[in-house]
Amino acid sequence: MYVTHLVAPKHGSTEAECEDAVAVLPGRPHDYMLREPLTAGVCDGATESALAKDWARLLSRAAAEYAMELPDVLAGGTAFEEFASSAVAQWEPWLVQYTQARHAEGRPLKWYEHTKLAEGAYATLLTVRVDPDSDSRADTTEPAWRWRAAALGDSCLFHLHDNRLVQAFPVAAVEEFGTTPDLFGSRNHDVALLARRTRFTEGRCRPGDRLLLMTDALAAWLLSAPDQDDAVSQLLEFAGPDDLDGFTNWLNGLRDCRQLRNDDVALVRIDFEGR
Amino acid sequence: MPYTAEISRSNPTSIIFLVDQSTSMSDPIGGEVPQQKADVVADAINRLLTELSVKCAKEEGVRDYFHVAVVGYGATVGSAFAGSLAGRDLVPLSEVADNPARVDERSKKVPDGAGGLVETVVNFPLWMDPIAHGGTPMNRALQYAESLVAGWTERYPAGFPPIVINLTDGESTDGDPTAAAEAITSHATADGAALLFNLHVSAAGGTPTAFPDSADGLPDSYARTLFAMSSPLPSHMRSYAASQGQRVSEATRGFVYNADITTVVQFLDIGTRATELR
Repeated sequence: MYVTHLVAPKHGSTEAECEDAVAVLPGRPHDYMLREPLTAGVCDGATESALAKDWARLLSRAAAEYAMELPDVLAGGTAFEEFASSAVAQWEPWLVQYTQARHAEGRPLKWYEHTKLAEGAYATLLTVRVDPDSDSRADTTEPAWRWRAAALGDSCLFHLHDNRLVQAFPVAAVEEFGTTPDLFGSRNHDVALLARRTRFTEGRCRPGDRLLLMTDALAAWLLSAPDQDDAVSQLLEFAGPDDLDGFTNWLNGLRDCRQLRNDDVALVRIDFEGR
Repeated sequence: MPYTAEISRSNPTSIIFLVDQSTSMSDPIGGEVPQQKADVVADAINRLLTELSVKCAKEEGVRDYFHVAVVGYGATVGSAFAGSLAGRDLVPLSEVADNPARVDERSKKVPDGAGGLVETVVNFPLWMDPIAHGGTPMNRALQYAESLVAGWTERYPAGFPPIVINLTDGESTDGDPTAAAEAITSHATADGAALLFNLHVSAAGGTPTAFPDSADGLPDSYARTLFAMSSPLPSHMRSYAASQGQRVSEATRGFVYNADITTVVQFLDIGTRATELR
């Protein structure tokens, strides 16, 4: 199993302003063959909230770490609620530190920031864990993997077999995207509600399969592509961190011809090999 | 499809508020708590500018998704900004947010997290004060707005078109404003015609109404004229209003009668909305 990820800001924003965030564990180079469990968190910070990028980074990392420690978080219920509590509990201390740092820099929070930060920061959250499948039948030599995913909002997972789409989660059709996805609020202590609104699924991968995790703009482009096989093959041109410039240029080309909404883009690509 | 252009820092749009400051604005508005119309309108402008600033606030400051003018009309027609922005027309939103004339503190009841309410002190920035003096030169005010709209559509021909929001008691003293209103909405970008919305504050009573789709039930000819002048809500604004529980149809217009107009800020799309799960 190989994993790589690419994150590119929307046209007109700087890298530092990008509000999509990805965390992948274990942190290995893209050409390192993973034989152990893998976890990933993908977050899309809401444009309208302040510090959305910081919350997206904190939340994606918290999700990847928690799923690595406690795989049951991907079964939902109490385990997910406990994770949600632990993630929300990290926000206030972070914000206190941030506020102090701003003060120390001589840039204390302005009136509109006080108002805005009282509302909290918001992001989608897609959490994925992949395990080498211990249930695979002894009479087959072909390796297999089990994946589990949890999604709050419209960051998506696509399962490809022989580069053809076999599953899209949690959004299956482009019409389902909008400007009001479900979001994980940094001050939402109603963890039962967070767990209830999060959707859970799982599947199995065989050699030749891939999982693609991505935020909404790119997912909407893939789901609406008139020729999906061609769209997948274009996307698979980008296979490592060295491809970031090419990826960004390709995204800008799609934006110019209005095929892709101008938004931040995060992509995680997990390739399963062994044939 | 019209009204789908991205609103961003490189493709900003403009919002031009027109504020009736005529003598008749010192009359009280109908309702249980009598308030001067001028107070209602100044309060609405200050809350609109607050909501707009907070909506576009990020950690590095307020983003210039919008440029804003506040034009008063009464004894004169011109910028109604007080403080350091006095005399200016279209101002980038970041400058508006950083330069209120003053910031008052007001107490506000907020949820205490345990089902009750607790009183807290909140900042209440003010950019303009209530004024009620002179006639109601609504035609001149609309023409003033038209010149700003014309300049803007020339500068950003592909952007989301300008939005003019007129806050008034409707009693124009320089003639029927219908033609001047049409002149505003005759300007367009590639994304659509300029939008004109109206807030009517009135002592005539009747039911407060927000974003109606017909003039039926409006209490007088002033309200009906302002309704007729108002642009139909673009499709995405209608969808948002509907998602907030408003009854809307394709004929729904940007018109509010003796009701809260600040919700209009939420109709503006600048990206993923920050809404708590429900």
